[in-house]
Amino acid sequence: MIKVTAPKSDGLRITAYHIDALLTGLKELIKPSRLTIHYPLEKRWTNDRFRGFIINDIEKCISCFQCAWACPVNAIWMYRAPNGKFYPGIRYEQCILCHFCVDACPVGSLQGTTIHDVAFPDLESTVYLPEDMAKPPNVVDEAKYIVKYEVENGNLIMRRIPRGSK
Amino acid sequence: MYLVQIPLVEPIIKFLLGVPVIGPIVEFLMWEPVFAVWFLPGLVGLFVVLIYTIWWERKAAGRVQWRYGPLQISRRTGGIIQPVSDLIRYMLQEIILPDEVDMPYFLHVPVLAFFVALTPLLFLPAGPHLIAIYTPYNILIVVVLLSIFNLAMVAMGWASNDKWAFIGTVREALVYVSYEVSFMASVISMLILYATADPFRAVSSQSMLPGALMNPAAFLLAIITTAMATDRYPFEIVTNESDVVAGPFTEYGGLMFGLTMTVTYEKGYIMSLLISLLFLGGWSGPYIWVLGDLSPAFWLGFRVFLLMMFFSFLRAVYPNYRLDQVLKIGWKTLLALSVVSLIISMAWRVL
Repeated sequence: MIKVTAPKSDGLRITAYHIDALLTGLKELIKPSRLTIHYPLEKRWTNDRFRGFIINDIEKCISCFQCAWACPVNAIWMYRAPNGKFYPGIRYEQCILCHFCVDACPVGSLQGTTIHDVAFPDLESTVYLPEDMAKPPNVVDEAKYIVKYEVENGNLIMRRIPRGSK
Repeated sequence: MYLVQIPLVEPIIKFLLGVPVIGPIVEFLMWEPVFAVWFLPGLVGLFVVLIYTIWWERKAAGRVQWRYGPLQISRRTGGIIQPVSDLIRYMLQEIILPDEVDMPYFLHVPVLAFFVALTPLLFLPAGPHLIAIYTPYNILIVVVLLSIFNLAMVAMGWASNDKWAFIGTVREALVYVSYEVSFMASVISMLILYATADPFRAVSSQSMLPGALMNPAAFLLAIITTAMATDRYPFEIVTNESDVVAGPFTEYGGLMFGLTMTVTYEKGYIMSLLISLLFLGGWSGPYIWVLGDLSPAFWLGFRVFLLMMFFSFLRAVYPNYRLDQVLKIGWKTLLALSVVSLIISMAWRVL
């Protein structure tokens, strides 16, 4: 059995700790090293191949079911179209945006986009039918800056880039 | 009948004094005791300090903890009117009255506490010509009147008839007895040092050296006990959110909660005034001609703001002590320190 004893109180050491804590607080107060971003007005920079929402080109789709087979969470349902073929529709309530379906598509009809911040008003609107898959979701984007995190001399720093310039 | 002289607004006051009906009202408001109650150090001063301190507390904690703090309301000024919008929200919220509470006490105590807690301000000067009631024993009276806060808090917790409120009330009583002796000792050692309980003579005795340098032990004691008394971190025991939801204020909502929250800040304001008068040289500073009688109040207000900002800043830096640790600090360390501060003061008198 390990007996826990209170550490010996050493007045000088404790005073040093108090002063250290106050100085650290003061340093952060004057020059905070915060990494928070104002989300709707600023956005994080995303890679060109960031895995976001998925669109489908019905012209190319050969109705092979490979995407539904590949989906690990069964988010893709195949819907029967009037022409007798089956086309995929994604239930974004389940989708984990892994893009296995994009990889599995033999003709490149499923395409990934980088859009990843979409809010749904209700549960029903998370169900995307084949006709909804044609174009990316309509997102209101009011971000003026793109925020990029970079490592410089071992410190994580954030850099704000205005929207227009790359 | 002494009217407060402010050269900056002198022409406006002169003009208003000549107007038939408004003249006597303006004269009454500019009369020294009434001015002290309504403006400085009274209600208007309290309101300004309150709004600024609450904003600063959230903002400073946000900056230190790598957040932003209030920003959405009036974004250009950094959200400084957030407390005003919170006040409006409190006023419009429904006041919920639980069945179990002792209704008369539950409703009346916060309102009474809000006004009765302001009585120490009658006895505190904000400058040579800004005082409501002058007696040679003003500082002692203030120290005694300060204990009304604790009575009100115990009454609120008792009337709430709720588990958290009860625990918070007991904690309040325990913390109160542990800091009160030391706080009294620190004030009394300064009174021994100045050989007076008159705030004007206390300030004039500090013309050479501020009281904080004359008796550092008493100053440290006053700072720590004020942090304990006004529920600041690291001594936030009574209203600690993670232990007891809001302590004695748990059952309150809407405007009543606004009042109870303000009472704590009122206490902080009054104790900061007292510390600035006793330890930081009061209103000493270069005379500003434009402000006239408000010039001392300006320098005193500067010190009070700094103190309130310091106490709020503690929230950003410290974690919290446990109740038993606070009691240990109160009855062991602070009591020993208060004896030391009394000895230092007596040594100054003897020398």
